[in-house]
Amino acid sequence: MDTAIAARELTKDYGRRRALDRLTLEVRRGEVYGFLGPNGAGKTTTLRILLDLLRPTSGRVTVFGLDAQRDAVALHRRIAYVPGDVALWPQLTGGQAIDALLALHGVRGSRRRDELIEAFRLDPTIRGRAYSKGNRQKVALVAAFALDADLLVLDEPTSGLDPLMEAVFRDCLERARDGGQTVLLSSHILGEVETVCDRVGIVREGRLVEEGTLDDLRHLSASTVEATTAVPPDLTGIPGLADVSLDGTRLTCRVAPEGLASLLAALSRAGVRALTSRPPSLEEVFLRYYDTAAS
Amino acid sequence: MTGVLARLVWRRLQLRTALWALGLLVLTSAVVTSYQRLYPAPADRAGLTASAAANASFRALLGVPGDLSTPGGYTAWRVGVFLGVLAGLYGLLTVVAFTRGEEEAGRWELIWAGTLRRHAPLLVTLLGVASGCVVLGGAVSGALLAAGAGGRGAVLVGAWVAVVGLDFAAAGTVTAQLAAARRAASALAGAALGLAYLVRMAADGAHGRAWLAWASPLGWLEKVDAYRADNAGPVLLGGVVAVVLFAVAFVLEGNRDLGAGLWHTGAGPAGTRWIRTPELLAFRVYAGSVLGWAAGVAVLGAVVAAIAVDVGDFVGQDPQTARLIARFGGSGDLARAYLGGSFQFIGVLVVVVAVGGVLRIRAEEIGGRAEAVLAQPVRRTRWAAAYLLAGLGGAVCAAAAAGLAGAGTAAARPGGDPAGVLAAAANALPAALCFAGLACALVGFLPRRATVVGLAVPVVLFLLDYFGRLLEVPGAVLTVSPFHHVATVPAEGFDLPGAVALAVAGVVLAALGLVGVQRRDLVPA
Repeated sequence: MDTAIAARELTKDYGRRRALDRLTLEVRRGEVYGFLGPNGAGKTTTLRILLDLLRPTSGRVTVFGLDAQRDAVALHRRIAYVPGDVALWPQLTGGQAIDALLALHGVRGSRRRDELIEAFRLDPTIRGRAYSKGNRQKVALVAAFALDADLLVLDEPTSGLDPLMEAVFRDCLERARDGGQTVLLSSHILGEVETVCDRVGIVREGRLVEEGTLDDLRHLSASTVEATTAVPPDLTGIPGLADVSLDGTRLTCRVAPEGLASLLAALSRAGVRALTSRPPSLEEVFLRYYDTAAS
Repeated sequence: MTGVLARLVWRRLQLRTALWALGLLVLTSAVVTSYQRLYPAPADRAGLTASAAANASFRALLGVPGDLSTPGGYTAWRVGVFLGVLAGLYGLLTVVAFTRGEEEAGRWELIWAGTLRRHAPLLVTLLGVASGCVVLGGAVSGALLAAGAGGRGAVLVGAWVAVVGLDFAAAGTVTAQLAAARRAASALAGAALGLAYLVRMAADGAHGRAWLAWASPLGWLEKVDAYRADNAGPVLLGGVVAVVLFAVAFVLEGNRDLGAGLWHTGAGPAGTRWIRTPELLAFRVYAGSVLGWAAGVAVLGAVVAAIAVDVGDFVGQDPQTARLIARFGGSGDLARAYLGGSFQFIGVLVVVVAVGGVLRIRAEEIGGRAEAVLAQPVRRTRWAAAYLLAGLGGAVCAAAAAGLAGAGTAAARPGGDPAGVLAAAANALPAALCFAGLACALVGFLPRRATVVGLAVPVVLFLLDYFGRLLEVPGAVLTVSPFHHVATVPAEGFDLPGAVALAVAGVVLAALGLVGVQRRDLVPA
């Protein structure tokens, strides 16, 4: 049994608005799974259902074989969560908030807590209402990473952090992965996703539209090809060609994976003199999925 | 842009203002129309005038009477101060909610960063609330006019009510600059209102201190002396005070950062060992409010107990006063009747403390903190029940504070009744349980309406019951009110069956509410 999270056919309606539409998702034990998608696609809703903060209209989630709703308390013993919008008690200091949250997990006097406060350069004596967004985020991160949880659920955890702190966060994440923790990471920071995620899933309009490793996803997107040939190439019948700009013998175009072989054949027939091919950047990969109009 | 903001403020003001104005209208109408029935003959009125002016505790309670031979003068004396307190509450609560409340919720950042002048939101809000105060005053004047108690007096009483509302709204703009939290700013302005009441009481409670009444907006009513002298001076003074207070707020606002108060919240402990369960967390979250409430009701309890002793001294000396006091709190021993009646008022504050604790469930949800706690291994029902417990514990603390302060005062004076005071204070607790249960049920099943309805229901039902005899509310309506089943301890014996019924209703409603919380989504708005 190496499935950590199994969400089946999750649907969530808010009145007439459908936030999730039969979303199915599987996260394997020990992997870092990047959960991506445009704003309002249903990422946070999915995470909240996972944590039994929201109840699905239909469908069900199990985590480590436990039902997210029925076994919520037992399950939460094994989960650490960083909400997308961290709110603290205005009258409690950051240190008090961390200790209270840890204590609810039965953790007291943790050395890891002190190390993390140090690493994130958090002043734990400031009252909740006086923290900046980034510092509130640090409070939640310390409270989450100080738990040795089997599953980390992180909802855009680096929003508000400066680059230095993002690096600290990545260290924590790598340490979590090395320690065998499973991570479900919702993020917009592509660099972060690229360095830490084993697999990613892209959600749009309440459905999981694509899933796989980053290499898999790259192969689904068009590469950019620039070529100079002896005679103008004949490009008829090449599938997946886009943004073609042919200036005599100089060609710039984008080509989908299925058309790459035919394009190269056509170019060599035309006597290729110079050729560069660039794989799609992550941005291009994601824009392809994010852009609703595209479908 | 300023126009947009003004429309936004006014839209949010409408319903709130209409409800408060309706309350003032009904209360004023009830009192002014009851005059003819209660004091039909000139002899009754003369007797009322004589006794109301003679008794020091009576003056302390209601103020120095004006001309009680007219329905308007009687109304101004009988409920005038109370109307002023209500208008003051409306002003300060609304202003603080619309300024510091909005700022605390993070909705002012865009406004301050935008094209508006920095002080525009504060000014627009105060102007809006000022117009709301005029509506409240107009409701009072209108009720007097409609009952035939017209003339300059009706206009001046209404104007005074409006000005009291405006002054405490202006005080709210000041406290909203001092404290960074809405609750603290409201509590501070509320304390100013309480102080104004005490100052007026001190001024009226003894002869030779009439000058002191100028120091309190609530004392200006007797300076207006409606339906007799009809002085407009105090109303104008109130306008000046509002302008001065607002100028202070204006300057203070220019000297602080967004989201901050002038009173900086200092650093605190770097951690905690004792906040380790949901119950202790709820206790820590609610403790500050409970302390504030407990201090307030302790002062009230002491004042009431002190007056009760004087009322007792007066027994038998004047049958008119005896009859009058009996109308407040029932029959029998006057001191006990007064004590019982006044502690019913303190009791509703104890109820508010209990309900306030339960409503923290919603505050935690709306503030986003519930999400962090419920992602921990904590059952929903336990998390919610922790705030129910905090509310009930807070109610016990408040009742104990009022009871002990009152009992201490009573014990220090000959003829005091410390045991009666303690019993009167404890008497509120079954009702507190009942309304806490109701609030919990609302949180479970009507989360978006819970805060408003949960607080409004006990307050309105209390007023219905408290003024029921004046308002001639039908008995069938009154029996629905839990307050109707609270005996006027110590004038009457403790109503054990009534208390048990309230407690059972409270427990059942609370249990239902917890089931509702367990079953529903978290509702963050």
